[in-house]
Amino acid sequence: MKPTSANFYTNVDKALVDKTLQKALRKTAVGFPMLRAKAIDALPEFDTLRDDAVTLKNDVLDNLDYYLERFETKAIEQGGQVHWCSDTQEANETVLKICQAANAKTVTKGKSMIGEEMGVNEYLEEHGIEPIETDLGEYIIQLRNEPPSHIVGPAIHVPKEEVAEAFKEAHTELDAERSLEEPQELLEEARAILREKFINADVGITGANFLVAETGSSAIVTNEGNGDLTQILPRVHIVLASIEKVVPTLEDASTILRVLARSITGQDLSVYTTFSTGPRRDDDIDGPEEFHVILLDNGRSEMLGNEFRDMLRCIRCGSCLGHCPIYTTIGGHAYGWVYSGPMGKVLIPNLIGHEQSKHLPNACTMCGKCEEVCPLRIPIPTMNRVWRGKEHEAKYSSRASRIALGFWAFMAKRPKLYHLLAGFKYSILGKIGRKKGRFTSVPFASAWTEGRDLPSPQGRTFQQQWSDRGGKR
Amino acid sequence: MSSREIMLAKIRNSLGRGPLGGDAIQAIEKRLKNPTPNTIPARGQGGAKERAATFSKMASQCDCTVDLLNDVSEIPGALKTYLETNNQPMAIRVAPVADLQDIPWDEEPALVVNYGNAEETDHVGLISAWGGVAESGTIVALSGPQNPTALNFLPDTFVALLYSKKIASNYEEAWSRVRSESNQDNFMPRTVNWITGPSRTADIEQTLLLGVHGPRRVHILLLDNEKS
Ligand code: SF4
Repeated sequence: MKPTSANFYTNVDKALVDKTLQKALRKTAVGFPMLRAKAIDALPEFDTLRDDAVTLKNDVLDNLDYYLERFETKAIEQGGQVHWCSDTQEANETVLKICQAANAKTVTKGKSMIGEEMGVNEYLEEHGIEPIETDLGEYIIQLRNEPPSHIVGPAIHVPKEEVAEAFKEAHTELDAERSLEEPQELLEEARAILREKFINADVGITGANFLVAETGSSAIVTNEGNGDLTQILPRVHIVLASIEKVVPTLEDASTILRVLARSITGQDLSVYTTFSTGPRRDDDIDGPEEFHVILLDNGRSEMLGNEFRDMLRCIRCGSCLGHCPIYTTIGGHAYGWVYSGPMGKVLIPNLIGHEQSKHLPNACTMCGKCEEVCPLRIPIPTMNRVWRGKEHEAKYSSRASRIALGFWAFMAKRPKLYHLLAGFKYSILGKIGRKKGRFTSVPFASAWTEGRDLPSPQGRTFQQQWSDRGGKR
Repeated sequence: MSSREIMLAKIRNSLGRGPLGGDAIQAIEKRLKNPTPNTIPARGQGGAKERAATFSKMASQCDCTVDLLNDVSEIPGALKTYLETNNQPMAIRVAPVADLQDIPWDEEPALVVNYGNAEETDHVGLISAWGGVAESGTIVALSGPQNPTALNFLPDTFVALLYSKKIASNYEEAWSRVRSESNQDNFMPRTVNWITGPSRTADIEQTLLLGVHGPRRVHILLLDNEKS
């Protein structure tokens, strides 16, 4: 999809007044953190497992070339085919070639963020092949022609009435008067429609949560089972994976699996964890006859050598999204591309270029919650600060904010003047707002105070209070 | 240059080195050929009895139902009762594996048993699980000549026979059993399925619903026939 990240502020304005979105986001903000907290309470080893996961992913990154080659050797030994693709264009072309060789008319798809990154659906459609998303959330947003608004729950922003609308528009062969009021009715309809698609598809495309160097396997996790029906029934199975998805051994995959689902849905494991190795064996009863793995780089090999390297540990659990005060206020679409939330704002500029994403580093209060909950302990705030610096250097920030920062820098270098002015400002604001303890509106900042109150200063600056106490707490 | 060469060159450039040398390769190969577990949670560990108990508890928490049986001869009756209770048809599609074929199905003439892979019209499927994992109540199924994978996903009701002695404490124990049973260099079957509960989604308004694409219910016949 064409990114709209450069219009971040306009996107945010839209999101803040979208009532249905706001309702959905309030659920997300409570739901996911609660589920995670409960799961972690039940597993005393959780933090040790996180440390293990960080260590093993760092080892992968240090030796990425070797692990990838090792994965390839093993996959080929078992009849698989591995395709190295530098960018999304090459990956799309490769997928198309495989589909054309299989004479494919329809392709079922399991959820894949790499597929979103490639825009593989649009690409296949342009070339006369019908791609069908089978994850219920992805299916809904495909019908609505939207990008996902959450990497784990792609359609969390869509109320059930709008799902019903999309289904009525798409499934014209069904009775127009049928009831689609209840979520269960929507589920039954999707189940029946997609069941047929699974059975008739020529090619199945899934993502990969891991590639295992030890065995040449790819692994996916789903709760619906759609990823499995996608790969068992068609004749050809294509796996879309980015290069950092490789792990050394099955034991290492198991370690990461223990922290993956717990971090988001609070499950010990997702319902289905599936390891696929090569095509169907000679005496197997079922399974695909061809097994292809697309290895996509798309900027990651550069990230390996710059200040964003730690981001490559990300396992796309989605935990940082539901815990982020910004994400849970503006939702995923405001970020303007397929990724969103804390991980998105660091990743997007790396993948589509800084000039396309401009203000994204401002989608952050520097509260540090994302790093705190990240199972791979990724220092997202630190990396975001790097992007902020680059934003300032590139003069993407507004003229007003650069002037204000310049003014602040001028004052900060002149402590006497700074204290005088700050003390004056605080005492005035304190006098006006002390009674209520907060301002519900502030001149020139009404958009800011629409969503929250501004706490009023208590009349004295921090430095004043500090020196009153003789520099002690 | 091929994309493969370009990508590898860029990776090495970012890592500030050329291809790995002998010693480094040896160290990695050692790690890959003798995989050692990372931290293993205490939860699933214990003797056979404890493992079976933890397995049942965890599987039930994930919306599976578990029937404890002591003898193969109890299977037909137990299955019939389960299907009746859940208002399911009596026709079952059974994986064509020896231990399921040996079940005395004749004892329950109401059950219609057909062996083979799942078909679109099958409502109930029965497999013999390769194993289970206690720590999360997970069923492990391996694909093979007698074990079709589609049977785990197509029918509305998924029933797994699981011998309690096949329950591992944790995933790592299960993997070492996969390795040792195959005793080949490439030991992985085409598909390894870990199944932890019935299919579910929360994609519509974050409401949890069961049975979106895979089975709506998962029933485990946990057979402890050590005594017999
Ligand atoms: S950055 Fe961390 S928390 Fe966010 S999706 Fe990636 S692994 Fe999960």
